[in-house]
Amino acid sequence: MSEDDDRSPPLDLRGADIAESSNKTRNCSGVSGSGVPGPGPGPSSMEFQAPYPDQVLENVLENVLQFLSSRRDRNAASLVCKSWCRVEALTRSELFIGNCYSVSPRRATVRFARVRSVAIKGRPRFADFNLMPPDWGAHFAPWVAAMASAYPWLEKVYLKRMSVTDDDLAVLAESFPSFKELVLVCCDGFGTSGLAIVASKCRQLRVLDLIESEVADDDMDWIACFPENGTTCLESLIFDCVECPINFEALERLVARSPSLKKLRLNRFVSIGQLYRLVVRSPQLTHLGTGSFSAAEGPAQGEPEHDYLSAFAACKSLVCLSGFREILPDYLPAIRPVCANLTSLNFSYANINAEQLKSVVLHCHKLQSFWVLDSICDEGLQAVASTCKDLRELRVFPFDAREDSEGPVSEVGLQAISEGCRKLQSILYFCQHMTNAAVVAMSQNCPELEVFRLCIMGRHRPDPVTGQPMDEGFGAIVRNCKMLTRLAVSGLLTDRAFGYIGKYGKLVRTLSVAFAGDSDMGLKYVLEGCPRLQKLEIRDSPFGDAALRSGLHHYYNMRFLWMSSCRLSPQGCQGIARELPRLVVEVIRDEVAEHKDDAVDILYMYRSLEGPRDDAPRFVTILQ
Amino acid sequence: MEGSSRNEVCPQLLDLIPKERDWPVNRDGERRHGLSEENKLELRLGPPGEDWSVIDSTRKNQRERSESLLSLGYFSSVASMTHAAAINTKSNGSQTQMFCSSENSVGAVLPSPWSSSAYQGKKQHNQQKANAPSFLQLPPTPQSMPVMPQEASQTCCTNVVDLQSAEKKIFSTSSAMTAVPNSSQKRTAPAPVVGWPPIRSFRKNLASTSSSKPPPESQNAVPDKVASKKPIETCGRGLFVKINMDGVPIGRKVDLKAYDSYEKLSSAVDELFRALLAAQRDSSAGGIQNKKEEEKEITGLLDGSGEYTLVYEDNEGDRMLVGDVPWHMFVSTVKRLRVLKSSELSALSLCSSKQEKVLLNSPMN
Repeated sequence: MSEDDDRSPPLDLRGADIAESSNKTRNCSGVSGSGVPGPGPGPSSMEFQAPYPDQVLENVLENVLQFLSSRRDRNAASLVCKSWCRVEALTRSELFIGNCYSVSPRRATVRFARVRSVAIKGRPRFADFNLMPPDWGAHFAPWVAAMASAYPWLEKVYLKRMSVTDDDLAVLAESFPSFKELVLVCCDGFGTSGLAIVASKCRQLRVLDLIESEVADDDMDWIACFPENGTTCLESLIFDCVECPINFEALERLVARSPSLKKLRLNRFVSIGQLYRLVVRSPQLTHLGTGSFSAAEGPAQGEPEHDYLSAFAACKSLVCLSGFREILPDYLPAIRPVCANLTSLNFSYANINAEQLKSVVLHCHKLQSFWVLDSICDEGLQAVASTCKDLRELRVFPFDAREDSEGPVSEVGLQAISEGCRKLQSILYFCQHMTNAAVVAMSQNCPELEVFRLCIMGRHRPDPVTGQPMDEGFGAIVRNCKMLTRLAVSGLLTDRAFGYIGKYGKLVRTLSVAFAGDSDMGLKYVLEGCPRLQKLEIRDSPFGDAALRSGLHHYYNMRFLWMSSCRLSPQGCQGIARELPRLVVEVIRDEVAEHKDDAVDILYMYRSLEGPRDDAPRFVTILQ
Repeated sequence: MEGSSRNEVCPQLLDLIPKERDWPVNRDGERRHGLSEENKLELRLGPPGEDWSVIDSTRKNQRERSESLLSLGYFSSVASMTHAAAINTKSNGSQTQMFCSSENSVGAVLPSPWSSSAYQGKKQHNQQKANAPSFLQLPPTPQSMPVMPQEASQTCCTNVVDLQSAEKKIFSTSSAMTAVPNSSQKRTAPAPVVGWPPIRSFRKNLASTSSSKPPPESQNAVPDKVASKKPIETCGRGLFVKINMDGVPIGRKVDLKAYDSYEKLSSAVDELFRALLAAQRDSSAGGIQNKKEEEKEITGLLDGSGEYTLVYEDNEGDRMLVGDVPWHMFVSTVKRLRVLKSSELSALSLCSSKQEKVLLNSPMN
């Protein structure tokens, strides 16, 4: 089954195979199916031929590979031999592009001919924090153009950190008659006009999810653009990030004629009175974003006090609750009836204190995912720890995100969580004070941790009790949490911490570093020690050219490396670019920040099959 | 140092500020944050008459100290306003008392605009551990700080206003932030750094959007949530305004800085919409005509002679004909542009000069 193709097929196919074998990037382009000749000379000699033995095997393979869904498995299968590569490419229906510049739309659509669902990621994550000028790139336009002709049957598009324009959405809506799902996460560049087009033209639309995206207000009543007649197939409508008012009456009608609707997340322009009207119409919801969760502003309309409690009590299927954008805590008791079934609760916009939280969370025994503001203080976290024994994911965001703000949560909260929530897999924790002891405790109590992101907001802050750097805490995390794949470090850290990471963090794929380390050795430890490292983002740390060189053996295995405000020089980066031709080395000038002339502001480099991109803005220089 | 007569917390507090000037560079391992000591110090401040007490047995002259601390606190908080988070002057109505509006002593004014309203809960529970509020992280050296007079409560808020707008500007240009110069402050918090802490911007504005009853004096301070719609964006050096055309669902943006006259703007509008308009005509005609419908040039936008006319909305929300005022005045007041059918214009009374403004109530789309 695994013998190489080259030996078996008839002579006239050999030309095509040779062309394939010279393609170093394993791009099984053009040759489709089994036994059909590839592009190029020779078709005139093709007559009907009996299927050669391997064709039968390829048919079998095709049927078997249909069932393979994990993209990592598929990537592995495609490396077995050309035949497998070809068949895998034919049977892949979900295409995932981790870096939109690593491969061109054309190359992707040529290799994978039968894709129904596409996921594309664009900008680097640190761009979210204004570390880079806007308009860096990651345009959806070339992708949608290529897919419009290659995948007319396309059903799903998932984009993260891409620039999507209204025109792109128009092309999408026009080109894919079976289009079903659009998910835009952390995207920008479009407005309500684009949403209107999608709503009106995509008649099969089941999912329209806008998550943490920036949506421009074009004064377009996009909700009213959904087809008015008959029922819709809508299953999920998420627009809590849309920062403009919506036509509520139209929304109410839309919800009324969407019997399959399971997920509805409203934006903050929906008042609690309006929420009531929606909830009573759709008790079948499983995911609800409550909008503002307070009374409408403006002249008091004398809204009758609804029976919110009964409305929520009727939602027997509700498992995920979020929203609470401008919560009036008086209304909080209304959600009590659903607490017992909740597996996910997002209070990360709700400025509530510990008491208010307790009134709710003490009933949430099934909670697995909890996002919250630090306004609940350590006491609130203790309550969570005592109740939510099944907690898998915790995120604690700062209400007051400043370096020197008061820190209402601390190592006390972390310790409590570690003791109460032993199944914890993922944590994101913002605080002002943290001790090594608490971090060590968590490493011991929560062995299933896969994601550990601790942000001590004061830069270079040591352990307040011992005065020591935070090296030992993070060292314990990488040592004890054997399944750790994502790590974000903070506080005062020396090279020793990176030594630990390099020595023990063998599964780490994503590492975020800020204001840490003493010397090049820190970065060297990591680059030499972490074989699975794929995404490395570093800011304001004293790593220089020598450290950068120590990763030469590994950069082709990574999705990207980001280093900003470090100690890199243009020559050092140039050296990397010269030695690794398949790496795109972008030096990005932060025009506004002051910088020494010779220092590199931002280095962003990534592997790519295409070479330097042609849409780079003027503040980006691509070294070669 | 002055801290000798106070409890053991003070040396730590004193340590912080001078060193914080060199915060990014000086990794002074001697800094202690004295968390446990801070926990012992339960210090609460508030308007007189409330059950707020300063619990610190070693202190003498409590009142005087607290007043001077509060005044210090104000200025340090002012300095730290330049940080990334928008500041909460409108707070959740049911939770926080807006001290800016109270006319009482200095103590009343200062703490709550900057301490999280959530701490209300804490203040009622003395058993709870309290980290010292941020404004106490200052050396009590009154001589270096002006003590605030009673009537300064108003200036508090004005300064907040200035800082808010300064902050907003800083935010929108996403430049590296520097401390807002405030001549009366002697000590500043560490200079804020772009993108730190790593919170996305929509999470940072929590404080200003989490209120249901904004107190009166902050109406002109923080742009309230409705005004968070930004019709004008300054992307770098451009001045982008939205432009919509009748019959075309997709709006566009134009960079007004790219033009210096109405003629150039008019031809740009023509270029922008010519193709779209042809596509619209084609699709509305049911596509029975050939796909390549001729693109008609859009002319006469400025003088009413064409099929379409260019109008704009100014900063007061009024709709005006484009072309009447000098170009630079137009650029400074325009908020968005519209291309309307000239036939519909005659039905509306558009004014051509500011003096005879008539508000148009035509539906937006």
